[in-house]
Amino acid sequence: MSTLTIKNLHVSLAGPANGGAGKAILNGIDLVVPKGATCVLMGPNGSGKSTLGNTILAHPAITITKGKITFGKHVLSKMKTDEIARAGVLIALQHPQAVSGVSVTNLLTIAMRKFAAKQKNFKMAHFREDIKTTAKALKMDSEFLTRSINEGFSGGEKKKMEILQLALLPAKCVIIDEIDSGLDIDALKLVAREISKLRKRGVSVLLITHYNRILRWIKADRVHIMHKGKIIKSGTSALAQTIEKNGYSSYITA
Amino acid sequence: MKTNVTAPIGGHAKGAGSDALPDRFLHRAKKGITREIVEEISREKNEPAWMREFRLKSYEEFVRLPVPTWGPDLSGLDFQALTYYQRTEERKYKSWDEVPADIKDTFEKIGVPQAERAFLAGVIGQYESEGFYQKLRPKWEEQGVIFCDTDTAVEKYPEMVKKYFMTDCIKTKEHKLAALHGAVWSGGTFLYVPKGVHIDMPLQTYFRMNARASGQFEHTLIIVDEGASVQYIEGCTAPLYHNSSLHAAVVEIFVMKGARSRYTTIQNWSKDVYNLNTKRAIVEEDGIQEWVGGSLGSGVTMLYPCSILKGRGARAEHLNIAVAGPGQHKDTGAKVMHLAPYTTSNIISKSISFGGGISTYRGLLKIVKGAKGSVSHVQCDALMPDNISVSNTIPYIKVNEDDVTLGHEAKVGRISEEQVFYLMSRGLTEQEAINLVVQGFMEPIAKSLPLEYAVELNRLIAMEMEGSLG
Repeated sequence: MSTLTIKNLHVSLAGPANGGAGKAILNGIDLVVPKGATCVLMGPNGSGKSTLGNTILAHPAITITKGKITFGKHVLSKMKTDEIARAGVLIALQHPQAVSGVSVTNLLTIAMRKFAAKQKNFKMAHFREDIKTTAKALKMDSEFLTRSINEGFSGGEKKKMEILQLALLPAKCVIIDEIDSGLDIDALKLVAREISKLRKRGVSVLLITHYNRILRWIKADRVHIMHKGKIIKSGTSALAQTIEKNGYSSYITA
Repeated sequence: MKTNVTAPIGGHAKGAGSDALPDRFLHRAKKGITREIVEEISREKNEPAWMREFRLKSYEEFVRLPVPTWGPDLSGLDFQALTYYQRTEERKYKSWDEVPADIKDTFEKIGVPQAERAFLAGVIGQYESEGFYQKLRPKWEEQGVIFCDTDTAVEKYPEMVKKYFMTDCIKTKEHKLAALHGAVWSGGTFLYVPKGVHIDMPLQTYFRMNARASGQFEHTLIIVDEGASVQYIEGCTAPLYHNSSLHAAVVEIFVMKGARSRYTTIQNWSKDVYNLNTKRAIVEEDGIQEWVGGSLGSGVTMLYPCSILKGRGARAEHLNIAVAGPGQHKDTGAKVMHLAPYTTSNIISKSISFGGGISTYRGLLKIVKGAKGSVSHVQCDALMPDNISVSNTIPYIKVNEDDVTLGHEAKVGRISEEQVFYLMSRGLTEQEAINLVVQGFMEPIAKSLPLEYAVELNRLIAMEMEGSLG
């Protein structure tokens, strides 16, 4: 396992089609997720939290204008999305896409064949069993494993589908983007339990959220508040509780 | 250069033309088409007088009829520049071991013997104009199934051929290519399944066109007698040459009362081939005809399998996938005629256009007065990963009966940046991500194919598209 380090990161969204200058979204982010740690990234809407998550995975619409992202010896800011994933940095997206005719079982077995090239004693038959067991733990109906991924799924089903994939692929560091929105309390507990299992395996976690709610079940090592593309406050899990009580405004106006 | 030489199953990615064989013809007609050449073909085949007369009558129709102008541009097709008949082998082989080494090689590369052993009830191989190898498992032979090339059928089963060959189903006077076919046809498959016989393994014919500037005009005639069922598969391929060649096949299928027929074809001709076919089924009471087609390769393709639902309760299923890459024009679709009450048709047409390719769905749906309670559903899905390709949908619907249910859906999809990002974030490369979206798009077709074919179809399409995107 390795440490995720973000240094003085500036990014902009791809500009208009004519190639004009993009809109600056992140303005100098410094953030460290030590190996095995769980860090929480909070902040009001539009503060750039999801953009940071997508930047770590090299989303094609985002351009890094300055700064660097590393994960152990890997310089993520110079790698392609699939290379980053295969280095063990995976993301649960806030808005995962539907792919018609492709089931999560399809996708996971194809993905796993790529990861497994590096693993010893990998057995695809066992992996297929693992998919079923994990789906059961998330109380997902088995039909979701064979249906077109995310097609016609509810918000909650999509979130579970994301966690299912992170739980099964050999992750070293996971970025979890607003997994708690659209989940009812029971589903949230199940999802939090899977995230805790990842923590126990030594996986580092960067948890992006609006609310404190999920932190009832997940112990955070650090909490960071983001606003206008910058980290404006960092602290322990107590910080999340203060925000829950008082809102962001005291930090934002400060 | 890529993908042009592979065939439907077990094919290898070979450089185009690299496995083309030297000419080895026992007989090769002169270029062009004349009355004399038609007579020569008939003479070469030692045909009975009735077939010779039929050819000559068809030739007259061919001369009389104009080149069709309602579809893609066929002006590059010069009927006088083609060779219409060539024969390489003196006899037909019943054992794979007897087949000459170079021809065996060509077919082994595309996986014929393995497929025959593994999952087929029977196999015919056609090289150039004539079938050269045929085999049917004894179990089916004993039950009266006939599976041979059509030339053999003319000789051995003349009464059946006379009754069904371009009589009721497809007539030579319909269009210029049907007439040409009637005049110069050679090879193809004759399949007869007796009453009540259910063949539970597919039968397959492989067609290989190897000579440049030639025509291939195989004639497939399938008769599925009352209550019988069969699944027949055709695979076609040719290496790449730079002289236009013509493939103008005719397929006629008779589905008798309560019978069921599935005709599957994956065509992967080289890109200088005009692939212009006429395929039709007449379906009697409670019969079911299924068409499953994958159209890859070739330059211009025109293909609209037709189902004539003649008997009460007859049903047609049409599933088609067309892939049009750079320089290719796929004009494909389906025709269904509902001529009786409570007939059903379900048409799913999928196309992928990329790199400037053009794909057109052209459909004709006709429901006559009196065909009450008939149901038809048409679904056209197009996938276009770029902005330079073209997809057209031209559905023509004519309904003269009020008591019917009709549905038509057309969708155009793109491969979005977000989708590709999503799949890449699970560790797939960009190309793998695109291939997976394409595979997903074709899934309804792939799942109705035998597994080996589904895998091969996915592989061929991935190869066609490789490097053309992004």
